[in-house]
Amino acid sequence: MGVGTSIAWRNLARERTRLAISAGGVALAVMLILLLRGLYVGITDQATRYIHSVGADLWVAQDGTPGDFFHSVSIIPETAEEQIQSVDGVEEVVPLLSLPVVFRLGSQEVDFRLMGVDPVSGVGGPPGVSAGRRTPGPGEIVVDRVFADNHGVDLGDVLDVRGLSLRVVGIARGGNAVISQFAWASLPDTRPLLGAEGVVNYFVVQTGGGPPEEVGDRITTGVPGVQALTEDEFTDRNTADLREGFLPILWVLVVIALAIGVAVIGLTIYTATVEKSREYGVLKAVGFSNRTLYGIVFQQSLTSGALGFLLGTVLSLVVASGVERLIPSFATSIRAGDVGLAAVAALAMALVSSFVPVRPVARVDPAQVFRA
Amino acid sequence: MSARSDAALRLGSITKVYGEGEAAVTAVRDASLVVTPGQFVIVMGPSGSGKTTLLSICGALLRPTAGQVWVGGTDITALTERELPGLRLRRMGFVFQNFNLLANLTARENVRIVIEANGVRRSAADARARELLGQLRMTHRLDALPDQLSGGERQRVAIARALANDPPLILADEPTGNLDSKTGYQAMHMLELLAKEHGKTVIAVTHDHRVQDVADLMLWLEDGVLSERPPEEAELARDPVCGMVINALRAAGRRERDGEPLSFCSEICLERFDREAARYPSPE
Repeated sequence: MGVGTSIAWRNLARERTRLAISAGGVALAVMLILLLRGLYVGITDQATRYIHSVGADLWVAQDGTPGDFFHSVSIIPETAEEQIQSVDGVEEVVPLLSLPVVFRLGSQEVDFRLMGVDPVSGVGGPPGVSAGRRTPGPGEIVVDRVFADNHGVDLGDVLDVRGLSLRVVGIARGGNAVISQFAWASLPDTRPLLGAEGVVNYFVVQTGGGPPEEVGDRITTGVPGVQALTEDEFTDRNTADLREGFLPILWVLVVIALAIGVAVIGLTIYTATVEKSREYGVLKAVGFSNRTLYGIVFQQSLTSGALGFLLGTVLSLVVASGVERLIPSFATSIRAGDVGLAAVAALAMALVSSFVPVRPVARVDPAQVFRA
Repeated sequence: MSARSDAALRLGSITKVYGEGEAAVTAVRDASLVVTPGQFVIVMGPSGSGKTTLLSICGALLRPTAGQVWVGGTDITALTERELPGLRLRRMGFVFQNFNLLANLTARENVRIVIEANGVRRSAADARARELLGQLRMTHRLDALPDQLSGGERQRVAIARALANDPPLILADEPTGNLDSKTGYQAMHMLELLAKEHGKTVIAVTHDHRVQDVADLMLWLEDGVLSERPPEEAELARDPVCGMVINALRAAGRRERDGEPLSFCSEICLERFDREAARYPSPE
């Protein structure tokens, strides 16, 4: 430990209020970064959990449509199933209906995205259930727990969905796409709601050997009117709105958080430096170099940043856990990579802040120590 | 004041001017001095006479406008800004009127950091700091913070810090200025001992006339001019306008009345006198 370090530590240890303010500023900034990032990841996870749970190698949608659940209606003739099945590398093809449904529930008008799934294989059903059964049979429906919580729906309730009576047999987990929730009924039950015969919305495809991208290319070129998307592509298209709408706001807030952190450490370190300019003058007079003095300032800044990072990370985990318990639909997901990002941000805040008092340190006149 | 090659400190025609043009103020004017090793030199003079400027130049904290300063055999005016901190660290010790201890460091740490800054390992630096503070009878206050120490104790820590790297030259600015008479005497004798028993060269700037009795050489600085004696009684005059006693040789202006010379401290007094001379009787 160098002489600058010991002076820096003594200053921090004996001026705890100042340390608390600067570390608190960084902690707030780190917390904001981690919670915003965690919220984004949590929301993206939720929005794509259903897609991942289906486990399809390929999603086949109508050609010329965006190909996601939320922006368009993909209409594909049922006859395409045989053509897809005949493509080299395709092992299994399962039809899927997917349509937004608005209906009255008591006095409320509610909505969900109803998925029509094969009642035999259950492919396309919910990721999991917290109560009841996972695969709906005829006249049955599985709703997501967020929908159930929000609207007081429970097992055994009967929902009148645009003239179709469906009894709730399962409360699902992982079907909250944030802006809407998924619900699942059997494919034959949902077909009348689509208003057209002989068509489906998607086919989910399992491939047998070979890269799914190549099989997808063969489907897209070999079967007229369809496009095959890998799971990653389909996920990507379903989260485009989040990326385009939420990410820029998130980054603006992250930059604001960083600026707050820099301002708080910078101002506290600057104030401390100016207040101690006479002591810096004494150190210069007795023979300390400017470099050693910068080292003192930098180590004080770095320590504030490190403490703030630790405090902010712990607080973020506590707050995220509390929020998730209170509002299950807004699950935050704080990942190790994001904690690493926050560490880099805290380090950047400390680095940038340590430059704020460089000028006053450089300008301290050592001869001032002779003035009473 | 002839130059000597074995001088601990040598000033060669030092001049320091602050500002430029009409605003220029000459704080030190053509000052020369040779101090031999082990000499205890005090510089006295009225406030604003340039004492602090002279001490800052001797301590390599301020560059002279003209002239040269040698510490040992080194012309410190020729050194770069990067070289000066090392010189101050190893070859000079400073004792300040306000003690200037670091508030968050204990007595021992205040001394130790200066030794560590000179590249000594912490354990050895700590042992040396304890030893120095012990010599100054501060063993019982090693871990006290400056605000827990009395003025005399703070000054002893400051002296220990000045001796931290065993420098040959000690520069003291009003070392008894903030001390009561008893602790002032103690501080004064400590500086005397440093010179007489430890062979340090001590240069102290002070208003304290008691220091004259223990110093080897007393210098007088007035209006930036360094001399070996204060003005004699015969050289003093009383300004007839404000009544202040001034050095007649450095008066701002002079007049004569009834064959008797009159000296004025400033141009303001001179103008007042010229407007209404009858109002101001000749001083006794």
